[in-house]
Amino acid sequence: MGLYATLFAFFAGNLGPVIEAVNQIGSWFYGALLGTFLLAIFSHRANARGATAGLITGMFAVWAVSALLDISWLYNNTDGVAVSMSVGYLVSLTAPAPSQEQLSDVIMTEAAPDMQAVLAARADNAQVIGKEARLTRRRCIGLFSWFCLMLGMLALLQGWANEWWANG
Amino acid sequence: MSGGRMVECLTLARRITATAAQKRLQRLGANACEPAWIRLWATGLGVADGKPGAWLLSAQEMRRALLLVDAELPAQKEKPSAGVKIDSGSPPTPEAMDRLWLWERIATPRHWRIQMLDSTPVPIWLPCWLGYARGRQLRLTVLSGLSGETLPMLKPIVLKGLQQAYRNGHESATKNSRTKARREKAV
Repeated sequence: MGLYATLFAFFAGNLGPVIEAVNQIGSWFYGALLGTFLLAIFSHRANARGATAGLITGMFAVWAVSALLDISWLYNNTDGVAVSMSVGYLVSLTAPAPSQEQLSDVIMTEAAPDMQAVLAARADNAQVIGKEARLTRRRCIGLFSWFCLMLGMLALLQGWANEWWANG
Repeated sequence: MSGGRMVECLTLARRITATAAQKRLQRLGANACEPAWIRLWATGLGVADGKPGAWLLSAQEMRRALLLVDAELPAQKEKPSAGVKIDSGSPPTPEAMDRLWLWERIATPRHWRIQMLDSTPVPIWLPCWLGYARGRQLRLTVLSGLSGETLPMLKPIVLKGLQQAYRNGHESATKNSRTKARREKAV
């Protein structure tokens, strides 16, 4: 390990500033890893086969994109997340879904079907508050839309800046 | 019951009114709310051989404890009024309390010198508000009846208590209907 670190230290000198080098190398793995975690958090249909396939494919996709296309390494994380999540989910469909027993260890008790029935019974007899909840949800959706809009505008701005730089 | 003798269960006074609780729960997206009482265990905190200056509210199943900064527990004479009553069970073991207090001290380093006083935990009724938010799934929010802050660490206890209350309600309803049927048959 020490030998590897020493050899890599000689090579890392060519990668530029340390922080940038660390992030550049990490970007080959972070995206796929994050995608696998997100898949496990947001989908109850994901399984081990899907997670493994997503992780490997995500890393491969990052390598392929950085080798074949001329884009900034900053996009590696996005590529990794998108590929590992989508491939992971699709491959998960080819194997049986996790059983209720397996899920009960990882999902919150609140979301379990029997607990939902208990909460529904209580909520029906509880004092009604009002329609503010709908407003809160709208605010959340509004914030997310604003985030997407900003992301789109930044992408347009970058595209325009690249074009201007290439022409001028 | 603690140490083989009966210990009176103190009732903490509810400071957050229904209107205030509704306002807070509205902001958190809840559609319905109800009052609740949760039975926890209070242990005194302070300097060694001194009087308690704060209280650690805990239960065996809690991962994080609650901290109540007050020399005296703000108790009321009346027993818990309207609302669902949830019992957290037997008092936490000294090891569990040590662990909970360690977490609190790690979270707030200025509490590091404060010690847990060597006293028997006192059972208390903590006033709370339960909020129900409807969406793709029903979500539960537990709000403190003392400060109005959300208490996510109490959710497992509350969910367990609500499930128990639901089962008990079902059992008693089934019993009642059977008794009624028997009476009708006899007549």
